[in-house]
Amino acid sequence: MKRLKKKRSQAAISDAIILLLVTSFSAALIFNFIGTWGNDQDSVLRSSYVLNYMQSVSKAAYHVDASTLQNIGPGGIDVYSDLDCSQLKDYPGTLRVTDLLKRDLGDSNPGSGLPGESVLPKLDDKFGLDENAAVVPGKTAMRCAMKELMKPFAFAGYTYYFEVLSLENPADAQDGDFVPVEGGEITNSKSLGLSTTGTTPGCKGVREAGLDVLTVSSPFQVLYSTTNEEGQLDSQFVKYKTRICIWSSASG
Amino acid sequence: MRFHLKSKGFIGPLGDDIPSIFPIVFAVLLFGGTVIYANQVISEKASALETREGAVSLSYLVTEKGFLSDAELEKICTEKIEARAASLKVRYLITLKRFCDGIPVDFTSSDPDLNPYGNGEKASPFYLDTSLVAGETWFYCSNSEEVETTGTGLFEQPKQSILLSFPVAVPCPNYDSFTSGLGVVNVITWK
Repeated sequence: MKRLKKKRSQAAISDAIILLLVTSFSAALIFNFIGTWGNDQDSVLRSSYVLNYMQSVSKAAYHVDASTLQNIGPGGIDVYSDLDCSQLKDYPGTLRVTDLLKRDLGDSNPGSGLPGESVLPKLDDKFGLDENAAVVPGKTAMRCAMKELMKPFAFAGYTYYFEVLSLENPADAQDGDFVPVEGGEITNSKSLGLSTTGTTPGCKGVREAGLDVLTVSSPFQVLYSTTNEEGQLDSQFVKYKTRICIWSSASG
Repeated sequence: MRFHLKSKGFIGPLGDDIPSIFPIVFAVLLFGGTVIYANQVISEKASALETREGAVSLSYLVTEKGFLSDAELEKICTEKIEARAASLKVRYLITLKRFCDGIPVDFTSSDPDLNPYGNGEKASPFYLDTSLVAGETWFYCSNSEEVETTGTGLFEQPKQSILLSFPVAVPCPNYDSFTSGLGVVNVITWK
């Protein structure tokens, strides 16, 4: 009976300590829960903003007139050191950035199957495939536009890349064929040579490198005209798509 | 059974339970405090999510087209934004700016590469005005009484507000030009 009396207070304290341990464990679970609550929703909303921003960039490029970009300068940024937007003053009026881009691409029809004509065009600021090609600064106009339109994200530490993909009988059925770029690419990436042969170019290459990329594509039709044997004008729309991808510079 | 006062550790039937009161009280306070804190945190996070959701929702209405003028923005605000913001129970301020010479990234900077206009706070998304000068606020709309009270000038950014900016095409170089250049529409929401 004496032993029982001694153990009475021990039983009460043991119960209290067990209650305290259970409560502490519950508190830890609650803290863990509130630490992660809402993170998924927040991530979705932030991604929605980035995607909407990139869609706005695509839409704005269809409306911005090339001549209004003539005052855009390199801004002391290395990757734009060769960018000359002043040449756009020679394209006044309502000639848009995308109009110049279409002219740059309109010198071939990769889906025609005809020799000499069925080649992938280049973004080379030229209309024509030979040395007599006319100067059409389509790539430069898009580069000037993208430099400004993507500036807020570029200064926030993001890297962007703009590319054109051919959908005319592409070798790459899923993405389309990458239209090569001559000279400065339409990007703020310092990793030059994204379109170098032997490596996967453009946004696909960035994705294959394992980086977390957000991508927005939009259809882009280019009118290709030629004269037939009878001297009549023969025109058809060639299907391309434009793609803008963006990724955090910190990740690569 | 008699109570023996000299038995070790034996105070009394109620006295023996006194030491256990402290961990019990502490456990109750810990659990209650945790629940109250969790409720507060979740409430704040939910409010922030609702504000961000409101900003994203309103921005879809504003950025439907790639081109925006002051008249079009006024029409969108009147016909769509007001009703949507009322259903989402958020207050909003939308400013439209013409940045024909380039989009500034730091309106406080005097470096022309960071702010081509050198107009300080007038390039801020929160500056209220109806100016025809490039680099300043061309048009704004809001459902907030504080915005109405501020009039022309810098509107103090509300606490826990969300700012989303989007590029649009606007008339450039002048407000009535037929050519279009660079512009930005800012969507600010708060509770």
